Amino acid sequence: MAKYILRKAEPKDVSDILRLIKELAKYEDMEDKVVLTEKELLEDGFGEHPFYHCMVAEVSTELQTPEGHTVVGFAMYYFTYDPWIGKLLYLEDFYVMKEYRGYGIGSQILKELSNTAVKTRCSSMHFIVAEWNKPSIEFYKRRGASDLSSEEGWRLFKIDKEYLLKMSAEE
Amino acid sequence: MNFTIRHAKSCDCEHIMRLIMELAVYENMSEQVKITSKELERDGFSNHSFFKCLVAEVPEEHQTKEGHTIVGYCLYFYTYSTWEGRVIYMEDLYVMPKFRGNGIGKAMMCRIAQIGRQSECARLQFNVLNWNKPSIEFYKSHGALDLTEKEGWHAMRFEVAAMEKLAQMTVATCATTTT
Repeated sequence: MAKYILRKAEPKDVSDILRLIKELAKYEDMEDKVVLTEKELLEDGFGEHPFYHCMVAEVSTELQTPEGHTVVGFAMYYFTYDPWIGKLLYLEDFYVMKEYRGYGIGSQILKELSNTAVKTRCSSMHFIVAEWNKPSIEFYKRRGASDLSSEEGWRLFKIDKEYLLKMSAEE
Repeated sequence: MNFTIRHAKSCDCEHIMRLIMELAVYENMSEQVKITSKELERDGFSNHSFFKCLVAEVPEEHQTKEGHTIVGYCLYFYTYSTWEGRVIYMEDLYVMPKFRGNGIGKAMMCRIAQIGRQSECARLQFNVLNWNKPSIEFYKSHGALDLTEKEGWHAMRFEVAAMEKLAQMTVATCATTTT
C-alpha cells in the first residue's frame, strides 16, 4: 500500500472524526448513543480549554474511500490522574476503517501514543474494551495489556444527567 | 456534625496524601502508592493541573486525635466521551471511618454533580472495586449504573514496560508520522 501519514488532528478534521466515531459506535452496536455534534467536537477539542487530543491517519488521494474520504483512522486521548502513581494517558477511542486494516496503521498509532505517554511522563496508558470484542482484547493483550476488571475487580460506573441534576439540587 | 466542602489549596496536599494512603490501605493496595505530596502539589496546583480536589473539613472541636480537621477528599478531573462529550470523572472519594454517617460523602458527590452540570458534562463516571459492596450500594442508591455488568466494559492498562516496548517497536508499514 502507498504511504499514509499520522498527524495531529486539526479543526478541519472534525467531520471526519465524527464520521469515524459513528462507524466505531456502529461496530460496538451503539450507534444511536452518539449524540455528540461537530460543533461540540470543535469547541471541546480546539477551543480555549481542550478536553481531548486527537491524531488521525490519512491516506494519499489515490487510496481514498469510494465517498472520497482520505482520513481512515483516528485515536482520541486525554490525560487523567491516578493519586497512587500520577499522570496517565487515557485512550478514549481508537479506530481504523475495515478496508484499511492489516497495513500496520493501528500498530503505528499505538506506537505513537506510547511514545507520547512515555515522553510526557505518564505512568500507564488506560482504556476500556467491551468483553465481547475478542479481536481487540487479543490485539491489546499481545502487546502487554492487562485486564484490570478481571485481574483486580474494577467495575466502571456512570451517573447520567437526570441524576446529576437531582444531586445538584440536593446540596 | 457541621462540616464544609471546599476546593483544596496547595497547602492541603499533605492532608490529601494522608487520606490517599488511608483509602489505599482500605482497598488492600497500599504498596501501590508511589506518589508523594510534592508531586501531588506539582500536578494539581501549578499552571497546568491534571486534577482538581475537594476537601471536607470539620470545625476544631471535632478534630481527629492527631489534630486533623480535613477528614475527607474527592479528587476529580474532566474526560471526554465520543458519544456524549464532556464527562466529569471522580477518581477518589473518601471519608475517614470515624466521620461517616454525617452526609459528608454524599455532600461531596453532590458538589461534583453541581460542578459537572455547570461545566455542561453529560455524566459522572468512576470505577469501584467489585468487593466494595457498601460503596456500590451508596452509588446505586443515587442512580449509578454498573457498566461493566450491564454492557461488559473492562478496564485495561498498559504499564510502563509495555508502553516503552510499544514506543520502540519497528512497525513494518508505510507510515510517515508528522505529529
